[in-house]
Amino acid sequence: MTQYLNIMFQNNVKIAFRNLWRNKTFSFINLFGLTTGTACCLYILLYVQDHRSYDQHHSEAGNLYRIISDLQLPNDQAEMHMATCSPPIPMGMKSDFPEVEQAARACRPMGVEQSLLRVGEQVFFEKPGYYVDSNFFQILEYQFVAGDPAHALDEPFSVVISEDLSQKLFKTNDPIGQTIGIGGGGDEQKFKVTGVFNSSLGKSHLHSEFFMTMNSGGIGEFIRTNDSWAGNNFVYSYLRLKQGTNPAALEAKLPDFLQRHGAVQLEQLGMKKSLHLQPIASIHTTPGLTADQATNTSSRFLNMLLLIAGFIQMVACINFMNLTTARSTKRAQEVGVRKAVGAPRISLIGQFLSESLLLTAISMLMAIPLVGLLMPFLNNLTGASIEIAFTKNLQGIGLVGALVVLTGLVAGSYPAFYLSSFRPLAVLRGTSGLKGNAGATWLRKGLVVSQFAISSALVIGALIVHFQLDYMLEKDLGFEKKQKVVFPFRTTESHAAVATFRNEIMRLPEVGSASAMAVCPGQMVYNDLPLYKPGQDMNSATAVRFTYCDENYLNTLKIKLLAGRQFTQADTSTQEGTAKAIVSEAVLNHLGIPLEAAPGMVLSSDFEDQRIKITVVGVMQDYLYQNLGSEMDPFMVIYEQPNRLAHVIADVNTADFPSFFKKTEATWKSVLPSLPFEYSFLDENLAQLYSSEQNLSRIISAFTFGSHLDFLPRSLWPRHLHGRAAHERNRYSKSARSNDGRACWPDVKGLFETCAAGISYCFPVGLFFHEKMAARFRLSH
Amino acid sequence: MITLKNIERFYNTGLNKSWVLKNISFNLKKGEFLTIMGPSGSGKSTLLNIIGMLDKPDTGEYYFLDEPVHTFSEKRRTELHKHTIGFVFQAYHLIDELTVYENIEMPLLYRGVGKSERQSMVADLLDRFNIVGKKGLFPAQLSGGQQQLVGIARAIVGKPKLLLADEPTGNLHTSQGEMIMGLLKELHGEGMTIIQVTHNEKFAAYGTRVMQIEDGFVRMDTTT
Ligand SMILES: Nc1ncnc2c1ncn2[C@@H]1O[C@H](COP(=O)(O)OP(=O)(O)OP(=O)(O)O)[C@@H](O)[C@H]1O
Ligand SMILES: [Mg+2]
Repeated sequence: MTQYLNIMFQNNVKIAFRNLWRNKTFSFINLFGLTTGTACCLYILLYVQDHRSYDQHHSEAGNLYRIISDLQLPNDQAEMHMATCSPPIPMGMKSDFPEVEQAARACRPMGVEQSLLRVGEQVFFEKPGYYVDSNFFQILEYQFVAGDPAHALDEPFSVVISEDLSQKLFKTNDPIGQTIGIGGGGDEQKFKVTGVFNSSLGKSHLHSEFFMTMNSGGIGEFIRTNDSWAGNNFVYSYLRLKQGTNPAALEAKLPDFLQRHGAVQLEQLGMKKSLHLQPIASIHTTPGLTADQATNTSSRFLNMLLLIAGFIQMVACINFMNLTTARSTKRAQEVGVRKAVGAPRISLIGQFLSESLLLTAISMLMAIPLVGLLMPFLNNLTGASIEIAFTKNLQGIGLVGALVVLTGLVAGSYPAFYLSSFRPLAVLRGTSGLKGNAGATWLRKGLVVSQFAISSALVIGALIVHFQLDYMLEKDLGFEKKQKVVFPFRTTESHAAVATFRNEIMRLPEVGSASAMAVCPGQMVYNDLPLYKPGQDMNSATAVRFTYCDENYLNTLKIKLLAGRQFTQADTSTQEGTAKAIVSEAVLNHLGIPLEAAPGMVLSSDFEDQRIKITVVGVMQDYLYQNLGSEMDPFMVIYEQPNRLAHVIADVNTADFPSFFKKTEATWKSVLPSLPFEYSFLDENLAQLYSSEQNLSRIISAFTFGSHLDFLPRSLWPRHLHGRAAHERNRYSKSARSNDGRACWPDVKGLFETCAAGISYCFPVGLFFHEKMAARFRLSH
Repeated sequence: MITLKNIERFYNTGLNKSWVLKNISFNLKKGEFLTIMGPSGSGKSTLLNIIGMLDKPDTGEYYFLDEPVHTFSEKRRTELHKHTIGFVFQAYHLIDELTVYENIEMPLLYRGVGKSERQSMVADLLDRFNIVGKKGLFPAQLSGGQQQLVGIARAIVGKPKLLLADEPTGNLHTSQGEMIMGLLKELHGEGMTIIQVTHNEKFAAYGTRVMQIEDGFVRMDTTT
């Protein structure tokens, strides 16, 4: 029996090859469709696999958890879900619960976009690194190429850096013992390099080029000595639990634990707080937590991509089946003959399946290098950094194998199970069994319709995402984002030059207005203050987020003033500690203050035995200061002198940006000769916030396009195929009867298909190019 | 070898039945060479297909080597025909993607014959039909007569007890037809039982017995 199967298999493969070779057009169209489909599918699978691989590499990944907090502030309806918790919590858990083996914290200096790294005379900007507890690397694993992960961070002011950073700073992979000056957001400090790691183990949600030991003064010292169990929810905390610990059971003990340590503080702040354990392996696929380290990718999005991949492969399979029906007369005749000489049905099923499996295997072999070739382009499109490494990756090989088999089986199912059921008599009589076979007709119609449906679903999905994104990017934010240039001042020392720089560029004819501010729209606003109006107390306070700015803020960003006045330089004169603020309309609504009564009103906040007083000088219209998708939250700006602010935004009315930047760079060089000149566009920075949505839009458009690529050859050749089928019909039936109705059908079908495919593929492609064009247009300004 | 008793075959066309075969009864002994003749549409092919177990009579009894085929399930009929009957078709029906050698070998594969045995069986036939030189060619590269030779070789390679040939010379020129007929005669001489359908009076004479069919009835049955 096995010998029999073996013979049949060899025979089948041989015949399959000859069939492919003889029907070159058919094979080419099928291969083209299957290859593009498979390439799309393969890339999506790799993309999803990549995102699911985050933090799987830690040897005890299953026992690692991040502590996250749910917070409810008084008079703040929305509960906050934070990726962080208060500084003493992880250490408290370690000493209170024996099941906690290790606890470590990580924290980035707040509000700092770029750290300044100084090696000798050279200065580099780098995304800020983390301050971490010295046992950090015993929880999250990194591949150390130099230094000892267990003790690298024991000494104060030690830093562990990545190989890439090492190359950038020292041009060597062995910088142990070298010194880096690290600044930005605070005074520059000297750190000693004690370790080098690379990222070969795998990707982590916590990505950084350098890690400093917590024991280095500054914010690290603040965390080490901090004793607030309720507030200061800004540290990332990681736990390693003992093998076999039930995280749910531990989580159930946390309310008591928190009450034990922080009941008084929670009471004082009027805060409700609960702690949770988040499995580290799920962090990357769980977006939506406030203050998370990176933009995560939701599992739902990944599942949706898998669905799209399935759709694409399905469309390719359906095309395959459709093309097979074009040749089914001939294949049915073959079935008849084989059965007449004694072929059992199972062997015919095997033969047809071998053919489709062979075709899918070939297309897979072509798709792999194709994906490899297109990888840089695709990665650029999706914002991912995926590499093909099947040789290293057993899972990848399994994936590809499974894809081949699945596609082959689905694509071959029609000829295998349908054609093989033909009875030889009907076929041999010359009136092929296909004629008048309602089942076959319905099957073909069904295939076309389902293909159309899937295509439409993809296209509509792409359109919806695109328009939604468009809406978000174009909607009225309450401030003007066009023609705004942002100049960041990245070091504390450079802040002294902010006022001069601002005043200098305001003299340029292109600049309508320029304003200094602590935080630009779209950036994270960390500060908030519970405020109450005169005659009330903290119980009726509303949490108001705020930032600092100079007197030109409203004019520069074109935010409407509804009542009162703008800031003046005189607002800095602090009369008995009252800061001057312009509040948003939402603040008045929350506190129940009428618009006319607001200017001059003093709002207060009590903290322990201190009272902070804020004088309202004006009321501005609500605007989306932070998150373009969110509601208009209560917000205010407080006056601050420019030389304590970190950004200048200029409202520029020119199209000739190159000459504008030449002038501003000269100004910058004159006031800050030691720092590199840097700028960005506000609207582009805001669009960056939507990069994941834009990626989604682009991914869907691209893959919808990819799934329709085979439309081209199919629309060029169907006539040829149908003509051939008709020719074969005539050759084998005794009289060359031609049935006009039947001959018409392929053409109608072809036309329908052509239109459907045409419509469905030109839209996303059009949108895609529209987007590209828009981006290009933008750059040429 | 074959006994047919009151075989009938009809189709429902609209309201009334239309008979293709009516009340067919005859015996066929081992070693006979029967030629069936008759006008187009008289039911010759239908009769042949029933005998070849590709089709089933609506009424009547069919015994093949004393086995009641009319009572068999389709599966059992298929199994029986696979081991005992060889078919030759008017349109040759060779598989385009297979070489001459592979076409002839095909029935043996489905019968699970071992490799070396297959090789010698196919080689014998190639030798005998003088087509050894063509064994690597594909059907499209052969003349009609050569294709039919291959068709016959494929039909007899499994050493069937009965050979059925429906107008084997229908698509051939006379000289090629004569060659094919000569071959059938030779096979008959070796003891093969054969039933052929033909419109050609001359070729009918190659057989030992001629049966005339008209409108589904046996008009004449003469053994020479
Ligand atoms: N599926 C069917 N439905 C209805 N009638 C059929 C069907 N198959 C065959 N017939 C009829 O049966 C009759 C006999 O057909 P058959 O093929 O046996 O004739 P034949 O004697 O072989 O003719 P020819 O010499 O042209 O090959 C014909 O009239 C044909 O129309
Ligand atoms: Mg006939």
